[in-house]
Amino acid sequence: MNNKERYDRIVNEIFELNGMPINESMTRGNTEKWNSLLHLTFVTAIEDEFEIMLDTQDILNLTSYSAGLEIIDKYC
Amino acid sequence: MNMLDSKVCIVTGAGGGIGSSICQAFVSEGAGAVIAVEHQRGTVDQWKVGCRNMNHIFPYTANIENEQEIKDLVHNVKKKYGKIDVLVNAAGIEYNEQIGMINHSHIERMFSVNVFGLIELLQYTARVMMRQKEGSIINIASVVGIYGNPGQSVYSATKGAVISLTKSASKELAHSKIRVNAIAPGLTDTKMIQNISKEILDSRINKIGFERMASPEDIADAVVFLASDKAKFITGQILGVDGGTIM
Repeated sequence: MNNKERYDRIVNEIFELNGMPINESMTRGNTEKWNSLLHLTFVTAIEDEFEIMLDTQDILNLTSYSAGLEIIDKYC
Repeated sequence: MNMLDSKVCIVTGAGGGIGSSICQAFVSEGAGAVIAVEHQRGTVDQWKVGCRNMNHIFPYTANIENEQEIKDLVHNVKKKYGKIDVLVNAAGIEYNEQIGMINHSHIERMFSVNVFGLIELLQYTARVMMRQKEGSIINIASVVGIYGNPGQSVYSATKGAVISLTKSASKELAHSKIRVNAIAPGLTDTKMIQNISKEILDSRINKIGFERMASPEDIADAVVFLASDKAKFITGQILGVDGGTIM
């Protein structure tokens, strides 16, 4: 499984998409479920999956689906 | 059974008098691993030799003013031990200067180490503790952060910030069952007081009800208590360890 597939699996699980296609233009602004509590859960899931620890700035920059991919690319 | 059996603890300022005493008290109480964070390599080794259970003390060199080094510290401990039970923020620096003669670079350094570095380490460590749904964070403040003291306007301001931070962080992290408390030592017999004149030192000791300075071990004993499960329902508290100081 490549990084994108692993990331997509996390997104699917955290945002409870139940296998539905991921809207790759999703952002914190246009995704109702993406509140501050879920945000930290999302961060934790990424860190555990990729065995990394995000910088505080990365956590702040994680504002969209595509930003998440870019952040993972930086570490892996 | 010891008070800290198998706990994984990070202690900053481990090269100093209070920090080293805390590390030694932790291993005496059965801590599984004490990551003794020193600013300069070798300072922990100086006191570690001959220490009981010294094989449970692991020196780690990091600059508390550097966010990347703080992150690496937390990440490395998490990877190696799988958890962080206790964080003690004991790193601190002190310059005593009268108003009108306060050096700006000393203001920046004191806030950088005593406050900014502490905040960064607290927030990286809290992220690990949030997953565990438990943990104890103990910040070393000072009585001067509560009462103030002539010649210590900036130092006391940094310690006042530590006290406020402790109270707010305890409220924010309570839902994750992370306890955040502070110790406010009074005048303590460490290298930090070496530059204080005998006259000033005597006048400060005269204000202590017990008529002596605290020893680093007095401070460490209180830290052990807050780190242990004996304090499991205590959070957001500032515990004075000052022998009845009147300021």
